[in-house]
Amino acid sequence: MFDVEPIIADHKDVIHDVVFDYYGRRMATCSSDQTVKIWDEDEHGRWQVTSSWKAHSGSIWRVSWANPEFGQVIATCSFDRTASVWEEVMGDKVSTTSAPTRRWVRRTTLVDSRTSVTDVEFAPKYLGLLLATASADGIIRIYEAPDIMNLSQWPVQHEIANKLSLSCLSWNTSTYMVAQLLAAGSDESATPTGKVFLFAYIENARKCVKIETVNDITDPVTDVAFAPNAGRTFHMLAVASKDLYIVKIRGVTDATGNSKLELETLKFSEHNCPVWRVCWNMLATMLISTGDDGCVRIWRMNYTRQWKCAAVLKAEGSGPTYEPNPTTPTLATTASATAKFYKKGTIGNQVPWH
Amino acid sequence: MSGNVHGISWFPNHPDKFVSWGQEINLYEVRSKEEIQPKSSRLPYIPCNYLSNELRYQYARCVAASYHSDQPIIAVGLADGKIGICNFRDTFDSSWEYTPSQQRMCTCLAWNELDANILAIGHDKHRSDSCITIWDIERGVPKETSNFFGLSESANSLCWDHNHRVLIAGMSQNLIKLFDLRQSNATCQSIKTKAVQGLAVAPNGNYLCSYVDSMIMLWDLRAIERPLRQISSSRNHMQLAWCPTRTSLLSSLQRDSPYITLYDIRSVDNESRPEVYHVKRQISPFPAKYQHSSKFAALNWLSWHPRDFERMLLLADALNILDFRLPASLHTAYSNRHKLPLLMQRPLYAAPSPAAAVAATPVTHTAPPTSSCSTHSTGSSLTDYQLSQNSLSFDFLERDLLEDDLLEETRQRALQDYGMHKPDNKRFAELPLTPYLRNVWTTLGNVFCEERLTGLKSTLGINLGHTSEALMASSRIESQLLQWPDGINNSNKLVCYRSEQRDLALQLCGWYFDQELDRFIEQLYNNKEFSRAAMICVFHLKVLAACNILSQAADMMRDPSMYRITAIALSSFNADRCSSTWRNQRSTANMQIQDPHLRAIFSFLTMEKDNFDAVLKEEGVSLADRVAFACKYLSETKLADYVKQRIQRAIEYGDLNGLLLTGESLDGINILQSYMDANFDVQTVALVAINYFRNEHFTDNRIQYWIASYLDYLNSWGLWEKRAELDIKIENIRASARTSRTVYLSCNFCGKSVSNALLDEPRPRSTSTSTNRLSSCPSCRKPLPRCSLCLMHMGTMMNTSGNAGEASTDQAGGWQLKPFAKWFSWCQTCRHGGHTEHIMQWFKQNSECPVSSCNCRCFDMDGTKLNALRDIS
Repeated sequence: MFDVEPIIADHKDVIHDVVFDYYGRRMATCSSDQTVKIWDEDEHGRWQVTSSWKAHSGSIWRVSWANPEFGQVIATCSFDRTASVWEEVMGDKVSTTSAPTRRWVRRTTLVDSRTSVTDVEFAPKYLGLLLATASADGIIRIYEAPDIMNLSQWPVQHEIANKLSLSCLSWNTSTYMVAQLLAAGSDESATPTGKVFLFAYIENARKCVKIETVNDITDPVTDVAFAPNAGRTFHMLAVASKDLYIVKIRGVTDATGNSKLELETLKFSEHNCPVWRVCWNMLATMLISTGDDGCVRIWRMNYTRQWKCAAVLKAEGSGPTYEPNPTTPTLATTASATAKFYKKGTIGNQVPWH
Repeated sequence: MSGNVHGISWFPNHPDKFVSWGQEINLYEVRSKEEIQPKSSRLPYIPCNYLSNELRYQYARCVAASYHSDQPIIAVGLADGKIGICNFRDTFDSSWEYTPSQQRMCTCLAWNELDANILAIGHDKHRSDSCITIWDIERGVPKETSNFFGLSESANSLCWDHNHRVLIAGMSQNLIKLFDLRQSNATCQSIKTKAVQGLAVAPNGNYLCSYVDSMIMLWDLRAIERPLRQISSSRNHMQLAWCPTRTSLLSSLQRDSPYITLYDIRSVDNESRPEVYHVKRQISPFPAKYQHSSKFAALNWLSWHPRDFERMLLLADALNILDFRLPASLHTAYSNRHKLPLLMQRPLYAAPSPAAAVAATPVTHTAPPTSSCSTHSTGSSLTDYQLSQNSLSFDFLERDLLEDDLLEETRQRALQDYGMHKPDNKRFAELPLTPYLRNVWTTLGNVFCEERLTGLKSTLGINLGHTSEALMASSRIESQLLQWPDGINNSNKLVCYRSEQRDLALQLCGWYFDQELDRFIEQLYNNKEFSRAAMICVFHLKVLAACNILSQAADMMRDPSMYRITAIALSSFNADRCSSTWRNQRSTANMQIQDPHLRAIFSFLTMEKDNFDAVLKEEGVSLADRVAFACKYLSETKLADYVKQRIQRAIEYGDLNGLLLTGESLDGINILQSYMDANFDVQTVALVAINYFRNEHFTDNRIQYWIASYLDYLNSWGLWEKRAELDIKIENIRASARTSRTVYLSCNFCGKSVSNALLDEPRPRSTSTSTNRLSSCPSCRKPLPRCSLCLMHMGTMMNTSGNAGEASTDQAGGWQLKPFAKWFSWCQTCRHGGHTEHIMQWFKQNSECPVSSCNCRCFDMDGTKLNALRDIS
């Protein structure tokens, strides 16, 4: 059993993305209010904003952490047509006792896109310091920092143009039994064609090409996420569209020795509204999806290996759940360390995690 | 009672009153929590009081609620063009009715907020009449020409601008006209567009929206010539409205759709002109339990509450009025910790506007949680206080699915050194393992001998083909005709096979022989595995012993009936007499006898002509026992078939017990893979591989991948000590397999390895010579890098005499400190480095790099506080 922890984010506008770093100890949020906030846990285990700055001149759609091996580095992308790479640097020590101040410095601004940059994500560690961006004009760009010590140089390595505007992308962190894959989704609503694409790096051609389209998904797609794969023969891609989809991808080699992908699409329509975000846990045993209506669903696999919605979380219950704490005037207050659970609206016992 | 409803509207200055129209016009007041009344309400889905109705105007075309703050006043437009004003109180008053000179349909109405008496009226087209009328209801029926616009045109929609001076009208399906009423002869500005429906001005006063069919157009009133943005959707729109409590949130209802579509309009200032974009959301307001019923199929009308944040009234399927508030969005991401953080945005409107504060003697109504469908009908007036009180509701649909979390299990097991101890270790017994995994590890522990997991398949010499070895193996098998014990009377012959290999196999399965058998049985008995002990006794034809065990067990059990009956049955079992009856009943009996071991006993005793399928396919009995049984009673070919068949099945189902048969082999890896595919349990797979696949298959890509993934998980949990322990274990395997080390040092100049020379000199027997040799590259003689603190070349022995005092304190720390302390470390950013011990000492006092004029903060680069990382585990 796990616990939920409500946090008031204090962004001035809609929050678009929340991500954790590799260790799960730092959190980055971005919002339409054009700011990025970095959160750390204080000694009581509560999340506190440690940095907050205006990063772009438009809504910030996504934020992504680089592997800690490359330092404390995040990337952001925005409607203002740019993506940026930020690094945390230590300021001078104010005194010998206090910790040095930290601030985030913009290392580079990637200005290649002519339209809104809708998603940004660092590649898995073994590829080096690579960054993929997707933009509304349908172009995926893959940037590489050849010198990981110099974050200001990010030459474009690959540029893949698509006909449809793109809204999201996801790296497959695993190459187990398949080539390196990158998935992208489109939020185009006009055409009834497949909206999720898979790209791979082709060694012979020395470039990234589209190798597969998931034709079962024709509704606009707002998020895609590859499940971490620790060594399953199949890969899983969660897709947020009008419904939630899980695409199972299996690398097969046919008789002629060509390897190709075998796709199997599962559809889950419990959300009753478009799905907005999806994310997996580490072992890919849990899928978390958020709907447009703000309702979070938690999916688990049952004993017959079927994905089932195990819990629903809503931010609208029936009446106040706990007494207000008037002595929390700080802007970023954690509403309460732990939420009380409600089962069908009645006050239940708090369930401890174990 | 109330019949069909066509539309609903809040009163802008009466925050708790709303009007519904359709067959008749009704006035309601939302009820507060305190005065919950018996079900007198006519509307099932909203708690409200019926106040009054207006019967004169039936089937109104359009209704507009006015801004009068003294009393709720509405204007009603009828199909014949008549406009009526009604305050639900006074009796009929002819001066409050206006009929146009030409009879045609009234299309739209718009009250002016500034001057509450002014009403703009739109009519359908007529050749000789104008379509827009401005009526000051206090001054009687409009007559002056300045009150009429748009001769022989039709008005599609009307609205006032933010200052209520300019009337905006969509006309004749192709024009938007702006009439500036401040001037005497109202001039007009017009734009040609097809989108003339549903005109509305955003609360920020700048944006104007309109739609036609499935397309929404956004205009900027300051520069209305060109549309700001065009939003197309898949369905046709029916109604557009701006949310009055947000600066630019546009809602739309679409035809036959159960969703409210929300467009959050925002703009960004680019170089030349602002660029406008939107974020779209679609929300279904119906309670979850109705979502799949046909009860709520479509939304027909929406009215935003004028003050309460993001609150609205919704009309569904012409009958049901819902009070709905936009749900707060939750944001979440997976964090590999125990908690699932939920981010809520504290919204923009945190401080209640003064107007709301005045009006807010908070009319809080909270639907009782048990009430059928009002989960969304929180009719509360919203204050900051309540916003922060946003409660979370957590509905468990499949509670048990949430409870056993493999992830948490994996972490706990890693913390308790899972896979680091042999199964007979005490620590192993304390691990939180499922019985299945415990059994697997025990079995594997039995089979593992001489540093190798040899499967029974190769032990038994199956698949060797017709080589001489195979022949030899088979030749050594001695078969022995066994006599059934007295009383069993099974007329079928029982042949028992024995050979060296089979004896070994039996041992690997955990079975013992002759004299040791009794001890084994006793051990099982002490472990309370009564039925298994009895089964093994019977398989060794010791029926009497089995009876004893069972009867003794029956004395200890809470529910002894089964054991007792079995004991009685065994004591006087006569196979020839019972077997036909038994066989007839077998299928039902099998279901009723719950203990698989007892089932196996009866199956064995009643077997026909060496057909042991019933025993061999008894899935409840552990594979080891069944294979041991097969080794005892199956002929060579049948045994080979059985083993192969079991391996196939284990691969198919991902049953780790199959490793007993395959041992370390490709089939074994296939079993692991199939278990991984089914259970996602990379920890078990990796640890089985590390512990038991230590020879030629250890380098298999798949095994290496699993191990690497598992190590990565340990890293991301911050369990570095655990990871290091595993690394050491793995390194031992690699060393035995003569794989090379993973860290190399190469010379900066020639690129050749210097680490061999360095590491082959572990004992400084002759310090002087090694110092000379190792301070330079062995192949090109160029010097190795210097320590930036002591300025000695790498490879030189550290001068410990200089800080002898410290060295003595280090003695307590043990000898392990030293090899690492003299090793070199480099900063990955500035490339400066030196002896680790020196560097550590330096950074205790300094934050910058020891090399002069280098400002690198090498030690802070990790970014994570040392302490913070320490307490992760």
